[in-house]
Amino acid sequence: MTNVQAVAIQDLEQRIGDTEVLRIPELVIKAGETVCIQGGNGSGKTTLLRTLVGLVRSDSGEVLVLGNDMRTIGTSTLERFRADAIGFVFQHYRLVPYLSAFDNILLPCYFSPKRRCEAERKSGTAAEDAIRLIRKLSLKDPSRLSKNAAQYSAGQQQRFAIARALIGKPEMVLADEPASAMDSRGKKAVYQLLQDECRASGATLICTTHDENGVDGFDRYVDMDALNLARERENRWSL
Amino acid sequence: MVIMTIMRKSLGQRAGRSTISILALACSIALLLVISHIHEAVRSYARQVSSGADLIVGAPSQPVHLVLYSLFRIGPPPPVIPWNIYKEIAALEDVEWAAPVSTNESHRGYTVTGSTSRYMETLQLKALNFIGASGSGTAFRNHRSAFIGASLAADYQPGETLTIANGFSPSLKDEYQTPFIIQGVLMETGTSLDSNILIPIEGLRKNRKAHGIKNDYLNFILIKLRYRHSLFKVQKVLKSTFNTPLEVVIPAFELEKLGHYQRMLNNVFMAMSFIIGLLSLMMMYFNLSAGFAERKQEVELLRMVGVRPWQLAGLTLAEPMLQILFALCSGVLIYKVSTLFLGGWIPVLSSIALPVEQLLWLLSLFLLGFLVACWPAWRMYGFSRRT
Repeated sequence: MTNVQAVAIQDLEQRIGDTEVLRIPELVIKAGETVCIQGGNGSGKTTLLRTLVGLVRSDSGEVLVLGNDMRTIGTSTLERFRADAIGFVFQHYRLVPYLSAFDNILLPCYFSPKRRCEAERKSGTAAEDAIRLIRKLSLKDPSRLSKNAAQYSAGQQQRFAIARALIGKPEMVLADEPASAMDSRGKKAVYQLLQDECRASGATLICTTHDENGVDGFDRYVDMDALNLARERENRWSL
Repeated sequence: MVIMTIMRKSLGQRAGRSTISILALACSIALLLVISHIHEAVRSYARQVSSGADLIVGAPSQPVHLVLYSLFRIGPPPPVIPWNIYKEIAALEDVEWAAPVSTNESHRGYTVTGSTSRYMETLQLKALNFIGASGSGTAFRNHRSAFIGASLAADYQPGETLTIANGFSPSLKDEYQTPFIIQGVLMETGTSLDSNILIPIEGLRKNRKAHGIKNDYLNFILIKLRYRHSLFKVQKVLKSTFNTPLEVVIPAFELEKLGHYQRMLNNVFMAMSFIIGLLSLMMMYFNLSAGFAERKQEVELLRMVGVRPWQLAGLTLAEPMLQILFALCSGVLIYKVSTLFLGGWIPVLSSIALPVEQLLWLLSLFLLGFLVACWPAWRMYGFSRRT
């Protein structure tokens, strides 16, 4: 961990229509830090992660990610930045259903020469790096990855999504509920892998989860309910 | 090239849904081409045949009926006219040649047509000769020669003899004594001529005389003039000179009148097939639009790993364009196969190749398809840029 800031949020406000979904006065995450953001459903965890990768643009405030101002960054710079520097695990894994599991894991290497080089540097070839990651995710037979992604179980698909985020040593890994479809053993393996890989490569890890137990080993835990001051959020499930 | 893999596999995943629209488009294209082909072939055949004869003379009847029967054997034969009329017409200075045609005899229910080689040339009849001459040709070898239509070829051998009788329900006493010898087989025409027997009219007349028929007759006469500009003059002369009332028609004019209705019918068919094509393009568009909603999450993911907006728009454009291209090729293939089959059934169809102008239909459908595909591709581009 260094003193360089990977994420710096100041007075972030985000609305969807008339509904205020995010109001974060301040959040700083240092480069190389592993952070777990915990909070209930609707607390704004996913919106925060989507704001960090530019999938949604904030209405006001300052959002700096690895030195890039996410409110003003240009489209082509953003797409290059995301492809090279960000590994993202979507909440529902989002594998391309008609591509093989193997191709899904290798997707970032197909579009980012930087990540392909990193994967090759680590394991010889990108494919071998994919197998290395899959082995670490307790898959019984990592050689059988040729089936279409949609044919695997939810837990396995989630593992592929995690391997896809980690391949090619991105500078930052964002994982939105990465272990929601797994049993307690799988969860432990996932969090362990994410932390180990990120610590080994010096990447910043930001995980969100609604679990309060069994999420160990992070450098810092952030309570989203305390972080996000948006009014609408508080009443969302109070009926 | 993972983008190509994505396109191929994405197409494969949607193959079932796309097949129906591809099939519909292919069928409409084939239909368009077949209709154009039939239209062109019939027009060109009618033009060729009608240009062979400048005038047709027969007993008073509907001019269109006279033309249709004398050139295409459609409808009932016109009533008979006296043989003398032919002699007088043939002797006219303006007449280059005249071909008398008689269809009043039969052989076992088959119509026997007595005429000259001119008539066969005018109708563009071709024959395979088996006796006396090698190869093809329609010249009668002698007065007792006969050509049989293609449908009769299975029942008769070249060199066999056949007898003919007066009328179509003849009794034994109506049968002529002198038989005719089969010289060859006429090539298939797709008209009722295929079940006709063609004999030289001189031979027919001799038979009639031998049978005791004194007043010779025929059904119609084809006339070729020396100079086309004397057409109306000769028509007028023929109508007024003879004591017998006659119908004198200009086949090109009558066919032009029919051509108007044929064009109308053709246009209706063309419009219908074009509408089918449009509907299948719309089906393709709705498939794409429905797929667009499903693919939003996929697009978000692909954008996260670095796929560019133009690549995604290209994928969205390429998918329907490939489908349209495939449908076009299949349509042309179906058209080729169907004209091959139809050609065996209606030989006139084999006589022409489809004019290049008809390919404009294909081009316009392709361009329409391109426009249809552009809209979702543009939406995809916009969505990708915002993602």
